[in-house]
Amino acid sequence: MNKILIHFYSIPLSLIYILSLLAFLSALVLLLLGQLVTSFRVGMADPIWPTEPWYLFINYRLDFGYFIEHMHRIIGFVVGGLVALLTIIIWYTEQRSIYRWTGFLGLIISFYGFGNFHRELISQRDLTPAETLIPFRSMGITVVGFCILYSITINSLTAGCRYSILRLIGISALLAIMIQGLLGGFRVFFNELFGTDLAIIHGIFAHVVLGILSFLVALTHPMLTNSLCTYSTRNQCSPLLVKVSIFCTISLYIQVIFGVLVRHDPIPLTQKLHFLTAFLVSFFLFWLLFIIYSSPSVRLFLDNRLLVVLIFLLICQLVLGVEAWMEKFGSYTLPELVPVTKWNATVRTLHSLIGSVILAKIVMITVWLYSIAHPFYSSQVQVKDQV
Amino acid sequence: MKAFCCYVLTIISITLCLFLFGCGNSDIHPPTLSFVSRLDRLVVQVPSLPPPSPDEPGKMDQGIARVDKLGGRTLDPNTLPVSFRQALDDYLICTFGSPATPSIGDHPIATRLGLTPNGLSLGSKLYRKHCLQCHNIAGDGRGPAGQFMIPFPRDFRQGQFKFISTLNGKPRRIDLHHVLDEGLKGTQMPSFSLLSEFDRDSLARYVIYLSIRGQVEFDTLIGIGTGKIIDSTQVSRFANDRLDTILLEWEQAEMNSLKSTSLQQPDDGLPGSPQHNDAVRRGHALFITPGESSCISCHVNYGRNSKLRFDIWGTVARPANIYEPVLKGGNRPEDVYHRIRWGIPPVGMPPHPHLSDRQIWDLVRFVLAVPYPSHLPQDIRNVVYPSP
Repeated sequence: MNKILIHFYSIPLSLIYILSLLAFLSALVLLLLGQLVTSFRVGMADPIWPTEPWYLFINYRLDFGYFIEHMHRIIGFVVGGLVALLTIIIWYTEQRSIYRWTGFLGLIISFYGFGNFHRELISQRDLTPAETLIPFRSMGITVVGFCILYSITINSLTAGCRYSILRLIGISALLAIMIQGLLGGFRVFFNELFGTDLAIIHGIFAHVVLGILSFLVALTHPMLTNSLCTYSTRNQCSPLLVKVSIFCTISLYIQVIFGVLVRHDPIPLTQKLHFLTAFLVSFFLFWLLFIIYSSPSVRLFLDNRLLVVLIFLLICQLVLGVEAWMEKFGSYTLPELVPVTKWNATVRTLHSLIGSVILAKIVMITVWLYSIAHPFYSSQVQVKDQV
Repeated sequence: MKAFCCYVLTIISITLCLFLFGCGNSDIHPPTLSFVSRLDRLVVQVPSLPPPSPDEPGKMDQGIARVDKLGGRTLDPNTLPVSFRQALDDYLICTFGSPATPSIGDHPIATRLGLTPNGLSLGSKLYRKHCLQCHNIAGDGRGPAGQFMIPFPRDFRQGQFKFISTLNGKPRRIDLHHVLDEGLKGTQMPSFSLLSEFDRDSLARYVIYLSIRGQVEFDTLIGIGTGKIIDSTQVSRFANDRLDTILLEWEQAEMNSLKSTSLQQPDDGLPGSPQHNDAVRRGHALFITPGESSCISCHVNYGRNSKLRFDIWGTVARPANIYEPVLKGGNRPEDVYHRIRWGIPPVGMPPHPHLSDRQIWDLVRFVLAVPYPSHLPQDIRNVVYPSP
């Protein structure tokens, strides 16, 4: 009986890995569409928010801007759904029965609050934003749900429960994707007051979401969970490598922030900061790749091809960055008046996307290196089916 | 090693701080920026033939170029003599300034309309922040974000606006306020209701400025192209005369708003009540009355089969389908009243000054009831929604 119960409550990490990967890839597609929205400046193509998911299919217009913006919203719904499903499945790994079911209650409360928030806003759609009442009560209900989830997760972390770090990252992913959805919606809703500012925060926070999903993919990757993670390998992963990897991640994220600022608020300061940080990022990235390459045991985990691809992406990124700058600031007019063409939109979008992909990859590498070097972290997710 | 890293990071941080100078303010136009001479075609005469197809996103100028082939007439400013163009550009810079320092000279009517340099300067900053991307720097509707939109963002430069409440074709400032407040439903023009009334007023004034500047340029180019201006030395005098006339038109529109009584909406009760049903019946009768400027002649089959037509900007419009619950000019009864009373001149919807207030309100009741079959009395419902 005990064996049956244990088997019923154990979730194969491979399933979580597959779902995480699916959510991550969908988030990349969502990011690409978001970057296209910015490149083509169609963020306000549809000034109505929020809408039901089916509204996006019924209200179909044949203009490109509307199409891109609505595709972005549709994929946003898809990513939200995947992350919600992922969180539910991850939560199922909580082995303490009372806490598990309380957590599910917390999830239901969160979903209800979030859904009700949107429903109440949709019911006021005919009013102007100035007349609309923000449903703070529903927001409060969502917060209560998350408080329940976080309390249980922190409790399980301190108690050293299995997969607690996974649950923490899982609910953080859910919270992050909800916040990101709201940021996007409020960008439209509060357009005249905070439109550009919210667009900037939405763009920056998108990479937080991507980072969390990358973390999840790395955490559940078979490479991390199989028995190759040996004592001897832990000793050969130097602390310097981990530190450089962390610095690389931070500097990349700062570079992404400045990149978002250049896209939305192209004043001289943001341009300078983005240029300068590019040097910093290139330095840290080459240094990291060099150290990884020089460490044969670490290279057991990280394929040579991955390193080559990263170098290739970095070179492309630098070239595209120069091209994107020339397109946006090389004309004899205000940056916001430069006409959008397929070429310059493609260049700018690719530059943004490759930056996001590099960031995601470095986050994964950091997670792997950290888990090799620190046994405490590894013990959380070491063995597949230990009962 | 740690100390070395600390030193390096400190130096980098200090170096970065030095580059904090030059933050810049992205709302103010650079002082060296000026309005560009108009290069796109001017629509002199709208074709009598209907357009073969609706507008396509990103192809505003290509759409306008077909006007000549369909019996209309356009003027290409690039074909005009350079000396005339230069004289006009000099006049425009001298009189209207630049985006950073907009003005309308020392014109007394401009001052009475509130188009002062300080006010316009604030409006210019707000315009750059909120409107430039779609309406472009001179208000020509060709902003980078606007090229992917249908309908195209409004071109202010002919001095004509769709949603007005005057007879002379010029909007009152309150009409522009209303559009800024509500947006235009069914289009990508959003509401700016969260801005303060002062900011919206500044924006409205700046739009009026762009419209006046654009119309002076438009009329003068037409004058050059049609031979009314024979010598380049006559350009500034012609443009000045046009400025006087245009400013007077705007002032008359504002004066009319001061004279006119406030709109009194009759109490016809709730939809379904006998009084409301009677109003709907009367409105329906007026709607289908045949005649040259009758409703049904353009809103064929209550708008379901309306034909495409060119508007004065050379783009394509279609009479509204009143089965749709969303009307661009607004769904409030007073919005529909104004559309019927004053018409929508740029797209060819005529005004109806001969109709009494009661008749117009009857039409309003009918038009607002059509999208909702339960709001129509049974006999009208059978006509408007015939069973298959």
